[in-house]
Amino acid sequence: MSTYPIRALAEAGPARAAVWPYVGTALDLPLAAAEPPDQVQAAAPTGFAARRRVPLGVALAALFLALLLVAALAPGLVIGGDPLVGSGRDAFYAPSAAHWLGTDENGRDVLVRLVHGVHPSLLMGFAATALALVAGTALGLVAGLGGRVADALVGRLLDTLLAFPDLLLALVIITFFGQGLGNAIVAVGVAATPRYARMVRSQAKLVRASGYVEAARTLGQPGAVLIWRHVLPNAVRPVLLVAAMGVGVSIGAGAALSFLGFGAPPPAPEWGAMLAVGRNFLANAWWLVAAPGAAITLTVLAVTALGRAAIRHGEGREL
Amino acid sequence: MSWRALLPIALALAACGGAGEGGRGGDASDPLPRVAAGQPVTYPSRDYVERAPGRPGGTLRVVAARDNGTLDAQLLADTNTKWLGRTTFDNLVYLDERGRPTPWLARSWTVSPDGRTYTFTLREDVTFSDGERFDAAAVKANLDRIRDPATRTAMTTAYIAPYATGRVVAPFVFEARLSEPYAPFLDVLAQSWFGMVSPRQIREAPGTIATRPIGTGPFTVERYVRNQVLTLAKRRDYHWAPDVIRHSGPAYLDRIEIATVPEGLARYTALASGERDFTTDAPAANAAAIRADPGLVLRSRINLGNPLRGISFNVEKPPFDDVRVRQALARAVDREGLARSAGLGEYIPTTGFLSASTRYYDAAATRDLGYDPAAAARLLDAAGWTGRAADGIRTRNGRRLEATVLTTDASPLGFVVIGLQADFRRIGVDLRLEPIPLAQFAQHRTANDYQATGAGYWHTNTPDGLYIVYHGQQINRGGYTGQNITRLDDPRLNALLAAARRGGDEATLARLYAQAQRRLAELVPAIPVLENSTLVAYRREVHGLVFDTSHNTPLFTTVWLEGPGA
Repeated sequence: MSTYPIRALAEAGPARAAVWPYVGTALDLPLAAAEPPDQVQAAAPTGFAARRRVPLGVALAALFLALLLVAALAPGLVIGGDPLVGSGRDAFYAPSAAHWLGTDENGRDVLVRLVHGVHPSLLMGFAATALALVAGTALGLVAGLGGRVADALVGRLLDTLLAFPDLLLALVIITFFGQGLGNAIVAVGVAATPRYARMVRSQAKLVRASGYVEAARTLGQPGAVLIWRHVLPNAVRPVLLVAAMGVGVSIGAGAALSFLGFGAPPPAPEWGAMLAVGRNFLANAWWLVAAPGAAITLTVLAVTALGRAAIRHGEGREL
Repeated sequence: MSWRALLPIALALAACGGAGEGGRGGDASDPLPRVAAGQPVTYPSRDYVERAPGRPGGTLRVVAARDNGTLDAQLLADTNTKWLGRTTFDNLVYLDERGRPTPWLARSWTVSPDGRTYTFTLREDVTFSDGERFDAAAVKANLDRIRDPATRTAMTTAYIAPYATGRVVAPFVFEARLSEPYAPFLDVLAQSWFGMVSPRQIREAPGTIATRPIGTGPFTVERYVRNQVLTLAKRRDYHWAPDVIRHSGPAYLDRIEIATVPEGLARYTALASGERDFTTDAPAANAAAIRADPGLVLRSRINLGNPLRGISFNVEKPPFDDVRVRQALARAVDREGLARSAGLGEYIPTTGFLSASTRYYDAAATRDLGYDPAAAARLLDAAGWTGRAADGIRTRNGRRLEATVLTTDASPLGFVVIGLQADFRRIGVDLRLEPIPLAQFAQHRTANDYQATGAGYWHTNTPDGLYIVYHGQQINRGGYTGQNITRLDDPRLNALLAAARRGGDEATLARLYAQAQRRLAELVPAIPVLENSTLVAYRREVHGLVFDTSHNTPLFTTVWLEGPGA
């Protein structure tokens, strides 16, 4: 069972590289560039691992993420118990055989709540990133292809949005539209939009000037077809890879909002909110903070590790 | 009006704490509360008087949970004001440890036979810190300010609503005329929010009371930065502390420096590390650690007034317009569990509508509201909620038994409601929480647009707190802002509370308040769950702490510091 995700990834590797031919040339990402090539060399696995071409860290990340996906879709399969209803009489029990991660201030099993908290966390990560991606792509294409006025207008709008720190922008949005998971997703998504829009814009400009677009235009293809068939796919692909890492950032941002009390109302088992309540008891119930803290950290780490692997893979480099 | 001695019916919580009297050895922590639910509570008299003279000098570094944003005690009757007001202001009267009014700035007083005219004879040697003389005109200026709608002191005004006019009979004789007999008048005048402000400041610069209040109190404000720090300096010519505390002359401390730290854990660590000497809001979560620390002392006091309500129903809105539903929910609450959950054993479960330390608390009246899920289920069955939805929630004619409770976000009492939610779920009632900002809360109240409200308490120093919170006249109606958030308007209860308000002898008041508490137990407009406890903690070098008789909060006049240079 444990080898399944690793194999799947390894097998998918070469095929995917073949599907994405332009990625390597068009990518100018600080994240990818930040990694010096020689270090990649040094980290390159040898022997048995090299044959599979999947480092242990990525494998573990994939395994963990697979487990999270199961927990998100069917938490009841992973663990039994009620995440919402407990008895105060059972409050603050330290981790034990009966409660692996102890119980919280309302006597609920912390592990059960963690597992049930996977769904909102992943939903937040993926939905907010998808939203940012769609909105960012639309804005980026308008700016990149729409001529000077559109470029200037969208550019200033993005500048304005970028002037706010992401979390602050998200807080402003939530203040206007009210709290809850749906609004938090929108808030985090909107806050992340400018980065994608900028990337798509520069990619679109690059692709528009490329030889194959030139060729397609010469062949008399109409503008809409040109954008849909040639510009969009080639401009968006590199951004997709960055988005894979953006998921981790969105999960973190969602947890931060929830920590500040802007997530779903109690008793919803959100990791950030669990952390927020738990910190009051840090001195005598460390597990209330340690458990959701570790869950958030590991999840963001796993998603980011996979995202990074995907980027390198897309560049045709070693995982 | 004569309040004769009410003998303490039972002595609880006094078991230990006797060790280390006077200056040697310092205070001992109060024991973990072990009150058989439904026992009246009294505290030892020695907690309210200075036991030995202290050593002058030093700065006491205090850490508090919150800053009111204003030092105007009359304007904002916040929970912080209870102890803060006592540092800069003095009152006309002060309660003794049994709750009877005794002299403070008023040396004596008489009450007319019809209970409508109070004549106070004032001390003649008191001055405000701006040099103004404290006299009958000053008292009139203060009461008139509180009564003036333009001052917007809604809560404080409500306490002296029957005060009609004041008259300066002689320079040091003040006469207050009431529109109706109002027995708690003297009690409320002893509350911290009725501290006397300099009449010159009221006249010339009322806006500055919020930041630089001028009173007759043992300390004056030296520096105030909102939400950060407040520094108080000793008034060296102060010599009019209340007779009851048996302290003469100025305060011992040269300075009190108060920092605001909302995080409970941070307050605890500041205290444990010696960065601070005293916290007025010790976090219950760390109480055990404070008790275990030989360098620290934890003191616990049950507040007077009404205890903590886990939920207050709007009795006009379904499903809570059905008294059987309310009764059922009261019996569904596992208060022992809540006490562990909310206070880790520092809080005391109660079913009472008055707190156990309040006069005329009747333990027997609400005994039937205790935890009994089977009885709760029978009541819901009787109310017709016999069906069950797929998720186990009760239904009646296809409608689910569900409701939304408004809570203010970031309320430290948040998980009390979450505990209730779980308890209700077990008997098939779906309670949803809607956290909203405080400002929206008032809008919902004014519009009568809510089914229930979350955890809260009402503190006052008299059993008349029942009138404030449950009398029909105190409902928000036609522009009137009252504190009856339940919108209960029961003629029988109204009559009992109004009669008690008019006054009478001990036996009469005891009977009226007992009947009122029994009636409340039948109507269940809210679910009392825990006693409202004040936890304070301090380092062992701190001595001489006296508790305020009105609020059971610290009185800093008698506090002193041990050690060189302190």
